[in-house]
Amino acid sequence: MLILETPKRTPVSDENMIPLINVVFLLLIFFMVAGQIQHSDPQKIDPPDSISEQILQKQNIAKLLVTETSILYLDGKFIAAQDLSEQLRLMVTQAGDSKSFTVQVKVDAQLDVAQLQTTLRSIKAAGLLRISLITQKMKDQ
Amino acid sequence: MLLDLSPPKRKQAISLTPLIDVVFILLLFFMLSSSFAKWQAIQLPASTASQQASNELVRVILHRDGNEFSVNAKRYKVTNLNALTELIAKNPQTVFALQVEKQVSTQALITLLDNFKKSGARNVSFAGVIR
Repeated sequence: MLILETPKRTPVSDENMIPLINVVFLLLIFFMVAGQIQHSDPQKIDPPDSISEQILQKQNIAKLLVTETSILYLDGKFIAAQDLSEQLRLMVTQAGDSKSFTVQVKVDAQLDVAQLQTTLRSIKAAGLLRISLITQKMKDQ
Repeated sequence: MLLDLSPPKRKQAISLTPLIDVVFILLLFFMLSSSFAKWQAIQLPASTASQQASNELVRVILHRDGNEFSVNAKRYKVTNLNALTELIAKNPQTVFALQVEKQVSTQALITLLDNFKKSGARNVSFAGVIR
């Protein structure tokens, strides 16, 4: 006589999950330690690649973002090109120290150099002497 | 009265499932919000006063396609580091003034600047766009 018995289900134990939890904890620690949480840019841009290894200044700075279509964002806020010099002058006055005040210009790699030059002229017109162009590490390095 | 002499019940272990849920949510948050991009800077001296005024000035023109440049009407590939090294070795104190044609991308300009730097140039300046 054939007896068909349904297989007994063994209760799932949490102990089987421990290796998974270990891996997930390690991943969590990796992302917490190695990653940096930053403000995201108002528009996604791809800065040019360079071999430069100069570290970015952290204080007394203004961040200027220039998109491929020449839209300007100063410290995350949209700004019209004609208002840039005036706004920068205001920022320098508020910062007090005009000599160490740096404008960090983050431009898209595909931006026309003529547009970049126009932006740089506006910054110079505000009387600022320190301008740095933000780049990213060469992808093939 | 009856005495309860059965073996004591084993304490039930705390379920790990809620812990795993929370850890997964944290992991997702850090994975999505972390940035690994390393930003660097190139200093652009805004001062126009040149201290190397007495040095020889060579005009370098970067052409529209971004792959070639000209020095003294002779064309070179941007990637030709040997030619660049030879040019610079003739007089290491030479000031190279980079001019670009219209519609050249910033990446092409930075690549040329990098190649000058790699080839040992000390004085490179950005002279602007050719009108």
